[in-house]
Amino acid sequence: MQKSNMNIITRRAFLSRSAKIGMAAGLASLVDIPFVMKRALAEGSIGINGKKILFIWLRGANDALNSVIPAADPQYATARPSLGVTADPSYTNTTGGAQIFDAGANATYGTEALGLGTGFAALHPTLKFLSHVYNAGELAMVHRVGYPRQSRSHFDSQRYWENGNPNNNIATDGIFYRAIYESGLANTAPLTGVSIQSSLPLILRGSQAAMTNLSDPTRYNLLSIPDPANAPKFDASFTAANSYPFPSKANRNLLSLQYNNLQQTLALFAQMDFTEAGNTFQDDVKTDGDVTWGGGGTGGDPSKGYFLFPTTNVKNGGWRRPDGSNVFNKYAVDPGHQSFFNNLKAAAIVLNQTGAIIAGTQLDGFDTHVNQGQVTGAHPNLNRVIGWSIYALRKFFKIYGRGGTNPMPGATTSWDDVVIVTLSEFGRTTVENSDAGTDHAEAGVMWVAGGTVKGYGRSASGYGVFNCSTNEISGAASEWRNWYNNSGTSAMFGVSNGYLRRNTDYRSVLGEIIRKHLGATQNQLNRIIPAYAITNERLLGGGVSGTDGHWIRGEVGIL
Amino acid sequence: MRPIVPVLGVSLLFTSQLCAADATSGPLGLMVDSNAVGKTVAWPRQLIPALETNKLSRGNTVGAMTEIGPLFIRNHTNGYSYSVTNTSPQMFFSLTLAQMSSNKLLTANALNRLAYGPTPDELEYVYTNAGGPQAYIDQQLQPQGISLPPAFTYTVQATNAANPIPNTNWQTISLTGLVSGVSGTQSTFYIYLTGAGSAYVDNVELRVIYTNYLETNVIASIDTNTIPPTTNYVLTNIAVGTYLGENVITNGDFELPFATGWTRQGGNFTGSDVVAPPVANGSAGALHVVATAAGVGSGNAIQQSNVRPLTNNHRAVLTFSYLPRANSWNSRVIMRLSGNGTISSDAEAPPPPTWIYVTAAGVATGTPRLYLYLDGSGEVYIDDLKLVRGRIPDVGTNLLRNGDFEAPLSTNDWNASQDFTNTVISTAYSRSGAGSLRLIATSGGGGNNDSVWQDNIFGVQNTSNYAVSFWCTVPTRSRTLTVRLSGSATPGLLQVTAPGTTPGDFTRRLETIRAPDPQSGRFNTSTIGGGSLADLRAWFVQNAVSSPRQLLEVLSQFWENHFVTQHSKSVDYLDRFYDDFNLMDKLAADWEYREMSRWRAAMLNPNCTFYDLLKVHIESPAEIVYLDSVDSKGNGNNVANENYAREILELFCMGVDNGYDQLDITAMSRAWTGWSVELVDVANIDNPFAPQSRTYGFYNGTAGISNLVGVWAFNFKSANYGTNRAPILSEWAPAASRTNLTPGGTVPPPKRYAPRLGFPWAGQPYQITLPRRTGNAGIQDGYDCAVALADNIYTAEYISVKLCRLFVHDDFPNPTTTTNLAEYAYYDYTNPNRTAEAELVRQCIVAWQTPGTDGRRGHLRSVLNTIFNSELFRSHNGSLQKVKTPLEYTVSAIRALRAANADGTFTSGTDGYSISGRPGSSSSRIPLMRMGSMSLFNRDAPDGYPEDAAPWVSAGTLAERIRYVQTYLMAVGVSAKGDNIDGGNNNISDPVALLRLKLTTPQMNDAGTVVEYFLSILYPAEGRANLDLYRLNAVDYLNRSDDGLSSSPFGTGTITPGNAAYDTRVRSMVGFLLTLQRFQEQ
Repeated sequence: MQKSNMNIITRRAFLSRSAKIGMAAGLASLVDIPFVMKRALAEGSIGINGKKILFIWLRGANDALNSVIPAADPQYATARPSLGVTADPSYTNTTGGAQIFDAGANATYGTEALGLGTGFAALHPTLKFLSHVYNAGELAMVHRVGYPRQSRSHFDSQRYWENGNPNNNIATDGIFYRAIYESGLANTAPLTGVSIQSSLPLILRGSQAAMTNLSDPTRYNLLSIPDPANAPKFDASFTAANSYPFPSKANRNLLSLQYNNLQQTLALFAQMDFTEAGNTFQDDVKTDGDVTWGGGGTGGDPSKGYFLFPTTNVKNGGWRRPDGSNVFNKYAVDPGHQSFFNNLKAAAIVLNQTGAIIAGTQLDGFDTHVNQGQVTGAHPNLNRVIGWSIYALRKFFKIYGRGGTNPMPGATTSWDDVVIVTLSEFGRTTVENSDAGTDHAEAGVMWVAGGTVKGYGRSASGYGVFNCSTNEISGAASEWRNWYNNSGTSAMFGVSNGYLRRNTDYRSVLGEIIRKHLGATQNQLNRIIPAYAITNERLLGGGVSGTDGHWIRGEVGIL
Repeated sequence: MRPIVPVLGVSLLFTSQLCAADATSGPLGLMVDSNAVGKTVAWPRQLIPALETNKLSRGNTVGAMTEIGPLFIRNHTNGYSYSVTNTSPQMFFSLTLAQMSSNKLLTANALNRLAYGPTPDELEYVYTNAGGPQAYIDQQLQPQGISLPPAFTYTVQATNAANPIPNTNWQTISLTGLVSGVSGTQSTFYIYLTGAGSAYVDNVELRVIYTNYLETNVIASIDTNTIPPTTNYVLTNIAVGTYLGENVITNGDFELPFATGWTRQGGNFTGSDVVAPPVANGSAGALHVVATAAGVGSGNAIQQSNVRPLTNNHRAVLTFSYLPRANSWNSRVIMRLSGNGTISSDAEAPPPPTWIYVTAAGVATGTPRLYLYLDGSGEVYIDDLKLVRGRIPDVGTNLLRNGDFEAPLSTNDWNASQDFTNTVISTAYSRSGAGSLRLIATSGGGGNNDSVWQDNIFGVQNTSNYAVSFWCTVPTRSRTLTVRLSGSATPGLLQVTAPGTTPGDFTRRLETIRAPDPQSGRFNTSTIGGGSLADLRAWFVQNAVSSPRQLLEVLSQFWENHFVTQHSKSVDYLDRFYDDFNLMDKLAADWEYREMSRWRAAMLNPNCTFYDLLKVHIESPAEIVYLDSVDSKGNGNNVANENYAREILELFCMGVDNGYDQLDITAMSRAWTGWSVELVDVANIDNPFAPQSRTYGFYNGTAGISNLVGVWAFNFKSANYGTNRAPILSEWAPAASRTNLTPGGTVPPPKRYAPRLGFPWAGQPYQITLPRRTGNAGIQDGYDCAVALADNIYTAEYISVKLCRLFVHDDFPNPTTTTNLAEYAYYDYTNPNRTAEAELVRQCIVAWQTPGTDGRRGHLRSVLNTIFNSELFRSHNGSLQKVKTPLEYTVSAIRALRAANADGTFTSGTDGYSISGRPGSSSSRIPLMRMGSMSLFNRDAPDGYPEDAAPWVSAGTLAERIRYVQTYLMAVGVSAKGDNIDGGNNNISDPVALLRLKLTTPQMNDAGTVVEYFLSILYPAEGRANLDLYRLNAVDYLNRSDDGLSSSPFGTGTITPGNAAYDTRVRSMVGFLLTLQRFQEQ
């Protein structure tokens, strides 16, 4: 009883605060008091506490071993004669955080892996921007993530990551959908789950409520004939017509809700600037020590750093420097990913300016069977996108978020409110193939970043990298605690033919985020990720998985 | 004084002809206000399904009531009112609410669900035709009886596929022909080159065919060093009952030293010897033919004498492999017998050409002359060329003389000038009759005086419409055939370029999907022809829009989606063998097209059963790849892949957790081992035991399978097959369940149907026992499983449930045998109080289980008929319970405004070509993708696209639906018309043209009548009364200026038929109506 009372008080306080924020922000429609009232009986605080998730789906299976590199494992170099990246000799430094590769005025991407201060793991040089987030203690890199009875099919494995039910092809509700559904806000808040990509991913799909996907936020309006540019006639008639009563039919409520949602969100999105002209977000420091960058020719503020979202060439790092030079290696990212950054920018803006709980997008191209690239090429280019994205999102929320140094109008979200998480369906073979690429394998790596994430200096081990060390938790002998397994051989060969075996279930990572960050109760989490309710699945505390008999670690303590 | 105003009668009147309507009863409140001026009667809006009318009557006595015209009843947001100035102290009012007539409702339901939405013409026809909507339903259930317009006749061809191969690859040549030139009892066999150079030769075999034969033959030769090798040939009859004799060549495989069987004659071949070949060909030795100059045969060749007795005119096969060398580009290998004993051949006759049908319509402006020409040197065969009045190709008198090319060319009909004078009438090929036009160009033509042309065409007049049609072969590579009327260099005139890629001619594009390029025999990957996924989708959607066999089209999509396969996974698989994405795309599209064609053919059979459709699926290469049977092995210690066993139980037949468990999946998984795919000769397309094709392509590229020509077909690989061990669908012992799967264990008892199924099924066993098989006989395991599953009650139940969801409403939960789930009780057929839904499913099962006249069970037309006769389908409550999928939405929007003009064109100037992805479009930009990633033939999950509404309906997808219909309604040229970048400009409607067909001019000037007409065709299943507010809104829309700010009465001044403002006003109003919620429903 007492707890219940407290919750009500909390919610009242929230209502009051929200109304003020909403009015102040000029986005009053964000705060719909009736829907908040409607969910007053729900458990937990998902959606109420202002905590949010930004996901980036790395589709095609990221090569985790050339992302977060087990540099001290001698088999790494053996397995990867052409793809292997040599670590900077100082990676063994165990006292500091990640190395900052910063060549001062000539900052570029280097060619040696960057130590993480663990004496074992190192970052691929193209992930160098992660070092800044890592050293702030706000980045957790969870290695050896997978699930039992790993499917090596892209389709199946992506489906399992999204529906949260490995080996279940039928479940068509996504994990994030269920998390939002548990909030009680689905179908009532104008925006809850948002993806910015070609179609709504399964992770946000569900049968009881529809999330919003926008393939292109700049297209999110109605043409309103006869005058697409300015058609009060259509808009007025359309609005009126959607309020007309009709006899009840099976889907009329759904249609009505979604038409309403459409009309509400049209207004919301119309108030946000997704255009190129609106992409004015710049770093607050001369990025990566590139002190000579002056925004030359870009229209940018020369006193600031690189643009955070490189959606055009001129907004991409070292493009057209003051001296007129144009240095590819000083681009923040490969120019081929501009549309991704458009989507990422939209997701960030949506999270920052609306009440949406989860937003995200995807990055394609990780299926690197051929010519993957060592320090340049296809996979390194994708690494650069990942590294810069997480770096830039952190800066975005720290500068332009709620309480930031230069908050956007109506900013609702601070860096502490956000957890960024990446997903990728599986890892790739340890041994490179004859095409200088890697094939489908098992466990991979997840990146988790946010103001409250317990990374370097804040986690139990003091490391920001998990499951990638010789003996991460001292005194523990179980195989899941170490990179090396019990028999002293490298985990890289834990499964025949060079597959990295899972040490942690991806659901434990997502589960920890959903419970500790979003604020789900354990009961809610048991519904969001059904295996949590099955003790011998060991998702929470670890142990022998009842599904396949392997030791897994359970939640790793990233929050 | 307070007047007494009794409310005498307020009732609901139900007109019912075919079935009972759903009664809604209860008191209605008539509120009456009376004052010195008069009386006002008001009543609230009633939310009654398909409510058609509010009939108000009044009278001073109860016995003399007269109906008040609807125009006198005022329509408000919240209800209705009627005022009368009559102040008599006593007046009676009667209100009657009537639902739509059942026939009208059934018309709308049938066209909404059995078709991709109604067209204006069908609404009228189905409702008024003798027999009404029931006759339409009956007709749609017998699609074989619905004739198709000529545009829907598709020819069937065979697939060829070959990728470029490198010059380093061995090529095998096989020639069949007659032995000649033998004198005495011996022959000499020569191998030589036609010039200096070298080549490797291996596996020379000459075998006599013993047979009876009827052929006449012409000398043929093969030139091995041109690309492609050229053969001269002549068609002959095919021999029957043949067998090959032994190889008469000694040491033809060159595994023995040269001296065994061979000698070098003359000085040009002294360097030749048996050597190890530089590129593996499977044997240690090969003949290295080295020539310092050309050989000639006798005395100057590599020679084998004393070839064992051959007889003139005996048929023989010569085969050999050869490996040309880079420095021998201009010399070729010749092998022949002594004398003039060149092997003659009939084996290399090319397939008959693929005839492509091309049409165009347009307006004539020039002098009546028709030109045919190519844009460069080359040739093409043309037949059955027609020019007719009007815009419907092929219909009407052919205005051309000798357009069938049966008569010789004469200046009276066809003239050939300048670069075309070699053109002749050919009797080698014809599409019909004996002759065709072989149009031969030495250079590009251009019409007048440089073309083949016909003058003085009788009856052609300027500004009139004409349609041209013809059949042609694929022209010489990269050449374009143009057929046009004179003067048509200016826009808007009749001109057709064939075979082209413009939207107008795609309807025929699938005819060439499997056409080998006549120049090479290779699968055609040029832009000519086609057969890509985009072509397939365009063809599919075009059928959905315009086929009169609408139910067949709806069911085609249903089965394609039920038996889901994925084009891109097929491409992934083919990527093992090929480099060329276009080729992989077409091969994968071919798999999809073949299964679709087989389903359609099966459904045209009145006795089509579910097994017939399931059989298509299990044999489909696309499925075998999609669900991983392709590499599954059950032999030895291999553990078979469970994927297909799981999905055939869970998704395709019984339904998840409906009468099977994991151990049944394991047990069945071996039945699908060996089910694989292979590239086989075209003739073996239906032979699952055929060997891999050994017909080689002619191109450069990688070695391996990619240089083979053939067709990818279902192939049983007995080496992968593992015989089944335990009966499937057994009651497995809980503790030692897995041991039951091993031979020698206790045979587990059968599973039995659940009690909820009731009599006569409950308790009956349904185990599948497979005999132990070996080798090719193992293929029967799969068929045995399919037969048993198709006859399983749970299958009948699950498929019936899915069909009910398709045709009735979404809320038919999946059946289950898990007793603690609510669905178990939901489908408890022993419960006398079961829902109408459960009862309908039970009736479907009964229909399924009732043998047809052919003695088989599972007749789908019986099941469908049960659904279409059900109360749930026909009742007023049953309409509009479903939301359209993106495909249904887009196609129904096109059909809704698509009426036939007198000249055969349509008021909706699109055929759906662009909505699911045309060639060259960006997949993310096409309307079906924007509305929620409905990627036809390319579903990425084996459960198919959802039939229920929720997954499709979200704000983002609704916005795209609305944009789509608004684009559709915009006039061509409006700046936002191209919104659906890869579809908008092909997406054209003409609602005013529709009004001209259906209304009189005075009616067209009346806003109320115009709105009423569109309401009737866009929302035919919703009652008129329920649409009152839409009506008010739309009339207001018509009467406002385009900016909405001021009054601008419709039907007056500039807003009258024939001017642009009227067109804009109507377009925008119809576009507005199409964006409303009710148009999402069916």
